[in-house]
Amino acid sequence: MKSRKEYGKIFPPHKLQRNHVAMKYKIDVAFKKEILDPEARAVEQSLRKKGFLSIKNITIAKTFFLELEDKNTLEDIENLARNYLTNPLSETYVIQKLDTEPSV
Amino acid sequence: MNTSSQIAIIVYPGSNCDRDCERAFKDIFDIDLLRVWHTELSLPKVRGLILPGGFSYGDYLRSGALASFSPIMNAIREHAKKGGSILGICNGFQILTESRLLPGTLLRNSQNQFICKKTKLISSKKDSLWNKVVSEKVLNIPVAHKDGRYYLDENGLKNLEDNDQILLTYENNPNGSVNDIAGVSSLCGNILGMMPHPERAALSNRQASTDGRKILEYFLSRAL
Repeated sequence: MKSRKEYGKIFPPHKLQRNHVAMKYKIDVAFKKEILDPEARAVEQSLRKKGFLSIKNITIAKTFFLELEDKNTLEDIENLARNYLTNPLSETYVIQKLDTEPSV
Repeated sequence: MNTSSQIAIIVYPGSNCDRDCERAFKDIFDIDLLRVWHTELSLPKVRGLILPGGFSYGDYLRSGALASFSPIMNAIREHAKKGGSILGICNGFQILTESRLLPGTLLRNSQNQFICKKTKLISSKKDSLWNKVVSEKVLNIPVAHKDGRYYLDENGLKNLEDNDQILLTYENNPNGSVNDIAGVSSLCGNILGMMPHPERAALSNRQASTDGRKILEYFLSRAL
């Protein structure tokens, strides 16, 4: 068994350098169409009971915002999105690059 | 043969069935499980591994996902590659599917509720060792999960059936699993994963059923 201190060495707390211009990405992760999302169905049913009768096909997605150092390429982001942030069997993703302003 | 410490159990932050497994293996088979913390980079020399139930890393991202990125995972993959036995129970099954050691994935139960109840499981593997050890057709083993809806696409399901990888199916599907699947094995049969908890149906003096013993016995007979 490892102590908490040793554990910290393996997963160092992430610190972004304040003055570093980072790449910013937004990654949306949603269930594939054929996958039942019971949470979205429950929200939909409740809203219909509240009188929003024209609402249909609610989906709930997760969004990740991340900042990366310049050296990371698009392949790295693809790899991150495909193999870590999503489970390819049940989820899809959309990557969007965001504008970065140089920080002061 | 001294079977002590030939089986290890991986403990993650949030695992909560590791002690139950230890108790079951000690009381039934007189085997002391070796506890291995998830930050270890290597495994002690063992023949079998157990990934216990629980809520590793609080089920963040997806159930079992963060556990499948943990430092011990490379050693687990090596163990699997060498043909070593692995039994993943509940969250352990989720970790095995997330790390792609087993096919499929486990999604939120179709009724969006945590289910904790006794279930009847139908033994469906045709392998001769399985049929010898798990002699009964119907097993009473409880489930306790919120993310237990097994899902796999049609091609994958066909492969599972063709390669005799389905271990157990539910008699009354509690969670919407595709084809009522409750547990599967890897192609070579050395990796077993199941949502029901065999360690909660093992001790005759305190548990309602002892059918889970047969699953543990099968795991041991493959491992040792």
